[in-house]
Amino acid sequence: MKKILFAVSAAALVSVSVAHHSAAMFDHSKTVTYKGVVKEFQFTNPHSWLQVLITGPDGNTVEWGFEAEGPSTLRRVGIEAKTFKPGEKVTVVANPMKDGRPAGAWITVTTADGKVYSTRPAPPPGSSAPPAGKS
Amino acid sequence: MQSFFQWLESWPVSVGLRESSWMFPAFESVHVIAITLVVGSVMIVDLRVLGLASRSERVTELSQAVLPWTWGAFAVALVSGFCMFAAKADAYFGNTSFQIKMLLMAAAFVNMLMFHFIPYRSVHSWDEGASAPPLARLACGASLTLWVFIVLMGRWIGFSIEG
Amino acid sequence: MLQSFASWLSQTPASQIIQNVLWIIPLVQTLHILAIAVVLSSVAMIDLRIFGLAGRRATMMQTADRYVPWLWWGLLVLALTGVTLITGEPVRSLTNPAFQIKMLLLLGAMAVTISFQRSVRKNAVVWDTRVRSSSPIRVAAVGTLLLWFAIAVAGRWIAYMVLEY
Repeated sequence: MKKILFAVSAAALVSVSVAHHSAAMFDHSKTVTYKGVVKEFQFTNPHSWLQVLITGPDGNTVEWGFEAEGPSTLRRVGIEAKTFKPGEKVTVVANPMKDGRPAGAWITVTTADGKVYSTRPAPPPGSSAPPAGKS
Repeated sequence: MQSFFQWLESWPVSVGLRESSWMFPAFESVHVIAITLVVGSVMIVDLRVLGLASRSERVTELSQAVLPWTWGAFAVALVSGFCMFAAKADAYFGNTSFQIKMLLMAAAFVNMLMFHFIPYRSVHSWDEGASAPPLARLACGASLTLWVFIVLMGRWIGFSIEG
Repeated sequence: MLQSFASWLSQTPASQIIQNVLWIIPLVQTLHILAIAVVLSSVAMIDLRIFGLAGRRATMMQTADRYVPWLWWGLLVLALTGVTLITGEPVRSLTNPAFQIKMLLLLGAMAVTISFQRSVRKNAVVWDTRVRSSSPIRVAAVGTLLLWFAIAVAGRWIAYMVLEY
C-alpha cells in the first residue's frame, strides 16, 4: 500500500515538474537572430535577463527576455551591469523557447558599436549542443 | 504581497546575492551542505526506527545525540534559504518547484510532530531492538520519502526559475 | 588531450541522451546530493563518537564498522552519478578548475578514510581507552569533516567556473 502511494506521488510530482520545466526550456537545436532595442539588463544571480523590445514585420513591438548566467559567470567574459544600456540597438543570437513564448537563451549579443558579447566561451571544434541544464 | 517582496528584495543581503560574483554560490554551498546534514541525520534516525540500521543502539540515545545537530543544520539551511529567496522573492514565490518544496517541508514538519507526540511517547517500550510500532514506522518511512522529494524539488528550482 | 577526450565523449550516444532528455541531469544530481548526505552524515557520526557525543556504548571499531561501509557505498553512488553527469557535459566538467580541485580533494579524503580504517583496526585498544579521543585525533576529525565540506563546495562552484562548454 505504501509502495503504491509512493509510486503514484512520484509519478505526479515528476509530471508536474516536467510540465513546469518545459516552460523554461529552450530549443538548443535552433539558433535565431533577433534585432531590437534594449529595454533593461537585469544583471543578477542566478540568471541574468536582457529585456529587448523587438518590432515584428506586423509593426507590433514585443518585449523579449533573453536569459544568461549570473554575474558570477558573465563578469568573466567581460560583461558588467552597464554593458547594455536601455535604448541601445542590439542584435541577439539565441536559442528560442520551445513553446514559442517571447524568450530565449542568449548566446551572443552584438551592440551598436559592433562589439560581440558571448555568454559562453567558444566551444572546442566538433563539440555538440550547448549545455542541457543550468547550474 | 508585491510590496512585501519588493521590501525583501531591497535588503542588502538580497542585493549582494543578485549582484555579487561570489555571494550566491557561497550561500548555495552552505545551503546544500546544511541540507545534506539534515537529510543524512534524519535518515540515520528513520532507519533506526524502521529497524534497518544501528539496531544495537537505543532509539532514545541515538535520537538525543543526533537530533540537536539536525535542528542546528536545519537552522543554517533555513537562514541561507530565506536569504536566497529574498533576493528574488517574487520569482521564487511563483515557481512551482519552490511551492511544492515548501509544501513538502510543511508535511515533513507535521509528520515529525505527529511522530513525537504519538508513537514516540511509548518509546521506552521499543527503545531496544527492532520493535517500533507501525505508526512510528509509517512516520519514519514518510519522513524518508518526503525528504527525498524535498531535495528533488530543490534541485528543480535551479532548472525552472525564471528570474 | 583532456579537451579531445572530452570532445569525443560529448559526441557519444550516451552523452547525447543525457543532454537531450530533460529530466536526467536534475534527477542524477538529486541522487548525487542524497549520496553526499549519506557520506557527510557517516563522517559526522564517526566524529561524534570521537568527541564522545554519540554512540558511547560502542567501541571505536564498532562505530567504524557501522558507518564506514555507508561511506564507501555512498562514494560508489557518487562515482556512478558523477560519471553520468560528466558524460552529459564532458567539456563543461573536465576542463573546469573547480571540478579538478574537487577530484584532488576527494583523493585526499579517501586517503584519510583508508588510514582511519587501518588505524582503528591496528590500534583498537588505544582508540577505546578513552570515551573521548585525544586532542590531535579530535582536530583531525574536524579537519576531515571540513575537507569533505570543501569537496561539496568545490562541486557547487563547478557551475560558476565553467571555462568551456
